[in-house]
Amino acid sequence: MRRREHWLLIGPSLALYIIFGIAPILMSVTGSVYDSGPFGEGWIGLRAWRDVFTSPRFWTGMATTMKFTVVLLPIIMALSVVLAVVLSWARRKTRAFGRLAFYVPAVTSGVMISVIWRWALAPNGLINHLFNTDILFIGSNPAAFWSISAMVLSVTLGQPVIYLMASFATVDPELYEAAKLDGCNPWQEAWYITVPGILPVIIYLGVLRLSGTIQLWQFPYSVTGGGPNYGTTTLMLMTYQEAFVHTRFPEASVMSVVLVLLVMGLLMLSRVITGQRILG
Amino acid sequence: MKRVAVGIAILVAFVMLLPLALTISTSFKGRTEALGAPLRVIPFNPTLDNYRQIVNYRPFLQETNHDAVYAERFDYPMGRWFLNSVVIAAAGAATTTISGLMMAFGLSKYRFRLRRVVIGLVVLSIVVPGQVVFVQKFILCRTIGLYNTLFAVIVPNAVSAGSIWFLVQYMKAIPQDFLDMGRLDGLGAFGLLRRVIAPLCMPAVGALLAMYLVGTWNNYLWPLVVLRKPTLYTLILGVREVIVYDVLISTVQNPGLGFAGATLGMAPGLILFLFFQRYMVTGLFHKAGGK
Repeated sequence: MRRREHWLLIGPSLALYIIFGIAPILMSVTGSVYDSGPFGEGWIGLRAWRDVFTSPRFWTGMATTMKFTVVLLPIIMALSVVLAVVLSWARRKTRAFGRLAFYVPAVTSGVMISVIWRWALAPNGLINHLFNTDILFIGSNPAAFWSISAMVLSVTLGQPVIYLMASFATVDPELYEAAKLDGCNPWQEAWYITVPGILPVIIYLGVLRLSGTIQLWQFPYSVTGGGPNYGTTTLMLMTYQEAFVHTRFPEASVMSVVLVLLVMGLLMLSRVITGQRILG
Repeated sequence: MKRVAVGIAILVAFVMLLPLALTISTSFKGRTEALGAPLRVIPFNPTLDNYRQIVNYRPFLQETNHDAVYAERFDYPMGRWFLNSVVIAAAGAATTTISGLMMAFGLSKYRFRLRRVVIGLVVLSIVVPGQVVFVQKFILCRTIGLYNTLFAVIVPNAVSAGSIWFLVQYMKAIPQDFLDMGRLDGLGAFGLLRRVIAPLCMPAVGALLAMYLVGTWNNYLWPLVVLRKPTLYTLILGVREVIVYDVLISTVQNPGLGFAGATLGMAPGLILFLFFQRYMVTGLFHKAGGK
């Protein structure tokens, strides 16, 4: 009896996992060479792969995704470390307020936030009205990219700030005493003691963010619609459009495979570079 | 110098809260005030008119995506959508908690041959989040007939890899002696789970529930893909549909109305967060400290 117990415990969840967690990953591979949709043509071989990889739009999307990642990841990580350090200097109540204020945007519905941003950034919206300017935040190219980046930044700082502040407690207090004796100022203390002490947490959070930024789609989807001129169309958004706007499921599957490989590959790469085990 | 830095950080914190504060305050402003004094946080003449209008609003929602065409008009769509969201969140909370406890118990307290394989599968679905392969999940749900039912949101989300991972780590700290004593009392696997494991895991479960509920409430992509019937929308989905396709046309003229909708859409998530905040921070501490 006891020999089988664990399968009773694990079985039901495992079945759901395999169906809804693992099967879709495999289906992205099979779906890219076999079109099974209602109007599907069956076996299509590598046609979808060729179509995707020769389409300039796909490479634009890839470049946009990379641009968002390269711009956002360092800013998010640096800013959240600085904010966490500075907030940890504050008195208890101030610290609690700061933590809450940064976390609230992170738990607010992203879609509702984007509705607000759309209103504020419209040509005759709040920001142009306030500064008496005439900037097309959403309708012109570098501006749209930077507007989206600002929105992402405002909602993603909360989580790393909270995690980092929680991890400060794990740093050996004696090290700070020693630093004081050596005449370190607070910034030096943070840079030479706190940051090295919590480096594993910083790397872990960085990897989470990396994965999150590659999957960016919500703000482009609901604020700019990926425009103008595909300037903010990320890979995720392109996959969505391919499947649900153009109903080209094999092409969407190809993009899913690329996304899966990208996310997994970057995670493994960061594991090799840092020598850290991200999970387990 | 520390003071100056803290001051700047708090200033930034206020800026982060400003959009939210403006949204909520604008939702209480009449039309002329919303247009004339958009930056005033406390309204001169607070009014509930916008809320009255948006709750009684009967949108004409047409669905032309994917398979079928629906055109419906129904009373109190906000109430209907709110109930849908509540059903999804409650069912999800119950199933992820139970399935998470069961699976984590099996993985952390039993030694068997395929254990590493199962753990590998769990890690794989943390590394490759379901969101990345949402197109294939959609095809799957359509094939097995879940498409356009609330089950399409509930069933695939009934297990959460992150929760299981977290609970496995948490259960490692439970001494084997406790389980052995339970065995002596004649408890089987489910008896042990209910009497010994679950009570000890309550703080962890609280933290997970907090994050899960807020995440589910705010989830947009998956419901957008599988719930295309207006009567099945979640609150977030419905509110956005109304604001963007119906009222946004006039948001320029009447921001208060759209923002009353936005406030209704985000309020439940925020209330859940404030309510569970204590557990959430505890959970994060465990996570960050236990890494």
